[in-house]
Amino acid sequence: MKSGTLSVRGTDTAFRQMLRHDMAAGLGRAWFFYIPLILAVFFSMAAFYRLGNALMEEAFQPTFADYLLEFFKGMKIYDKNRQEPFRIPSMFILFHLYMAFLVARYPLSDLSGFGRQVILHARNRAKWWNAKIVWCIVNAAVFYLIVLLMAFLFSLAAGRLSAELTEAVNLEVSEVDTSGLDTGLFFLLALLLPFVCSAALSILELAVSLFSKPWCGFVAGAVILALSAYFCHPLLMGNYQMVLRSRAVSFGGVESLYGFLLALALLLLAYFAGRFRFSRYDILV
Amino acid sequence: MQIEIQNCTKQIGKAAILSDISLHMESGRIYGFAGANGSGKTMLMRAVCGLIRLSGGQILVDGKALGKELSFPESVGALIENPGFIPYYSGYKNLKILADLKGRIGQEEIDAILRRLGLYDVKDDKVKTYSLGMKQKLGIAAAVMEEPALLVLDEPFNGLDEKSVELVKEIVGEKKAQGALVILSCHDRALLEDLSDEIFMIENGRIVG
Repeated sequence: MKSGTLSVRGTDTAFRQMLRHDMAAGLGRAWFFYIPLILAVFFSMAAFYRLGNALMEEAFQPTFADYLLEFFKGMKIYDKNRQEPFRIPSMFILFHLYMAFLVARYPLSDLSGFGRQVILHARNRAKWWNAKIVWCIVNAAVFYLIVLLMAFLFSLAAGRLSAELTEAVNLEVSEVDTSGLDTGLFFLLALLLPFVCSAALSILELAVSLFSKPWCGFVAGAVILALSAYFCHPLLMGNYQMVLRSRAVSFGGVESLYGFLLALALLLLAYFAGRFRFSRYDILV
Repeated sequence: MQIEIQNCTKQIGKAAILSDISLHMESGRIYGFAGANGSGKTMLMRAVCGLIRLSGGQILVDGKALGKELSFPESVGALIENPGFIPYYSGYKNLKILADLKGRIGQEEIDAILRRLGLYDVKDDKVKTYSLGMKQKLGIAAAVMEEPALLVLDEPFNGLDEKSVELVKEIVGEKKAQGALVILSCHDRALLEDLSDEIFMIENGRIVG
């Protein structure tokens, strides 16, 4: 391109280039941050396979869907009147907290390095914010894709490659009654809805970070998760990330449609609040 | 380009970083900001670039208020504090990513500025292998490569050898001759006086001379 020639694609180019930078710096070059997740998912699914072998009398052949159910089942609705110990499922917490950790790690730290150069050269704060929103969504998608891939590999190596749930396995090993679940509803409850909620929570965390510090955003996300584990309430988003909290599976559970609406509302609120805040944000680092 | 700083203040917590600063600056001139560490020079430069929002007052760039009508000046190149680059990318790739954001310049212009600053032979080396002086020169390259109308350089001579200092002085002089409005800060008063058409002394966030 010759000097002095202004690109007619300038506006779109800036956003695309910012996105490329975020995908490269925040995902591609940070691939080693996903290793703990891969290991955790691997060991979780391996543990499920070992448990199933111990509990089931027939040959244990969990399907792709069975592995996913076990991973995303969460915990039963907690009833403190039964005086049962309150135990948050470790994979549920680890999965979502680690996602929150990566959201706390990358977006704002980018401003202290190359990101500051990027924003000055692009001369557009809104595009920087939009690119980070996309990064949050893609980061959440990577988390779920890792689980999908692991479930696929496990069902290939130690199970059956099928999208159908096995009621006997679900009841005896995962302790989830899936008799009322068809395949479509299951994937909505186990994957789509939790993913949408994860994306919304990530964007909320990022927005909160702009008003305070990244660790505050992280803590906000963690508090929502912990409260969701304790209370089965339609306004606590973590409930929509646990199959066991769905009305389709448990009496008194939450309705998926409300989950989608809540996630959408939270996403929009966080997006616009964050965008407004960033338009006035002091880039001091 | 004209920049009008009108009664600008910047408060962070209870600390007044900038207090009631008013300045007028025009194209084709070099303005030097002098002052001790913590005097407010860098904060004022950040304000002019659009990186911070003022607590009071306003900065007009060609009549448009920064932070209201404009997020950033329309044509600005800046080196403020440490130039941040991606360490595992080459010097050239870092500049290419920045250049591609607006698509105004290409490989030819990037190579030209790298050659001028003596970085052409190392352009494909990773930035993490660069010395402090080389990173500083790369930061200057990033600031000047798109021929900005406003050039803001905060301590551009840090880490540079004598030859490089002369080279950067030459480049700054050329930008002024091309009509850019240049703002620069430097701890070397003699160097600042040599380069600047006008010097503003900043102390405790105020212009004192």
